[in-house]
Amino acid sequence: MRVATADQQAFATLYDATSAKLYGIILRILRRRDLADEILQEVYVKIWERAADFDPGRGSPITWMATIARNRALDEVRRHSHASIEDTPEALNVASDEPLPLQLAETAEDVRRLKECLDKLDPKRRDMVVLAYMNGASREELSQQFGHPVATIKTWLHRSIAQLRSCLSP
Amino acid sequence: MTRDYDISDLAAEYALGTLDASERAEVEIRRAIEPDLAVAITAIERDLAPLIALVPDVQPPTNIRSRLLGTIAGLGSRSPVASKSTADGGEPGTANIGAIRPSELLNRGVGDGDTVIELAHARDEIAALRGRVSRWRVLTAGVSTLAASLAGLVMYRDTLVRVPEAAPQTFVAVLQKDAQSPAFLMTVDVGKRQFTVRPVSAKQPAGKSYELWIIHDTLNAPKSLGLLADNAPRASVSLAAFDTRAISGATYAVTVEPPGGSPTGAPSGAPVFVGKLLPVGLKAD
Repeated sequence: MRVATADQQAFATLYDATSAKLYGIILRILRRRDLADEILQEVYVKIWERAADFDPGRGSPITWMATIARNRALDEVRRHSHASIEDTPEALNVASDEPLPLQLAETAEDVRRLKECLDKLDPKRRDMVVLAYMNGASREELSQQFGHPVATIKTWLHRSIAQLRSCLSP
Repeated sequence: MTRDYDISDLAAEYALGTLDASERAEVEIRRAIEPDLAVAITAIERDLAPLIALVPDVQPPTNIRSRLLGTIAGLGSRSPVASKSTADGGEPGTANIGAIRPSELLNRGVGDGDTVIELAHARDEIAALRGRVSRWRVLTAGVSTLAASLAGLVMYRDTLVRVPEAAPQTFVAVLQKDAQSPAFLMTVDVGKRQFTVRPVSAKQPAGKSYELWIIHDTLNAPKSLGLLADNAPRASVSLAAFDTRAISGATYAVTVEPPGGSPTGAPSGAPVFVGKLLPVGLKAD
């Protein structure tokens, strides 16, 4: 008979509530299941070790966890360029008008606002931002995809984020 | 080199994810020693975070869960706060983390990815630690600190809470307005039908009272569970008037009322803090 501690039980609950989201994030960036499996485990061990460090003042827990997952996946994909953007052509559709997969009612308002601001960008630049964020596209991949030099992509990304932020700021 | 970048552009590309491997590693180091950069990154990460909702969920292979739980059990509860909170008034956490100097961080270069990333958060952690220690110390009675933190992570979003299928005895709920303001921690013993509420960071509005309510479909209206003080716990309060289904499935809400509580027996306004219950102390198999 095994008795789980309160910590482990809380962790299991947290895992059940969030793992599909984090796995989705990681898999989309890495595009390889074997790697995604490994990184997902690393990420949850990190979350376990840092749970007490979570600072509510810095944002919601799912944002905190997703940021850990994204950053870990991005480190991995940048260190070894595994996949090219052609593997996921459907990625360009993510900002379209189809209903959003939102289970989190609380975030709906945030998402709506961000989408509005994204839609104010030039469509190409909006797609670049979304591709970079969701798929982990690199500047080189964006350069290939959109047919502009890397330096131009860089400038556009900087401007797009600045424009987004000023649109989002109250 | 990331030195060519304007801070906000660098933060933007880091948060967006478009930097290359060596630039990312440099940023991880710089953010640990440049508060402006750290703040800029956090702000952009937060602004872009709603995009996470657009990433489709994918169920991970089921064996990962059991492997992870095994790993976690092996690691034990090495929660930094759990071990540091005993060092009352000391310099929690600085002994091991603070021993690394920023200059050493930079000298380590960028090749050692994981180490760099671990170290990069050290300064942030130190800076925020004291506040966290005092905040979470309140939670330690009856619930381990790490469990409370994990419970907090889940509880901050009602939608992430799963109603337990087993029959645990002890539940906790964080009553709060939003992620920035956990106000009260509620512990419920469903078996004994009793609860205890401790203030975490609640500040009572002048000349008003906080009143706690239980809300559930099986009750016709919110029922008062009495007044809460911002400076003292209420221990072992009876919930004998409610059945266990209502107790474990309820939403617990706090409203601001005239001194002494709502004159009508119903909440006078919208809740200022709400929370649901999360099981702790479950026995498995």
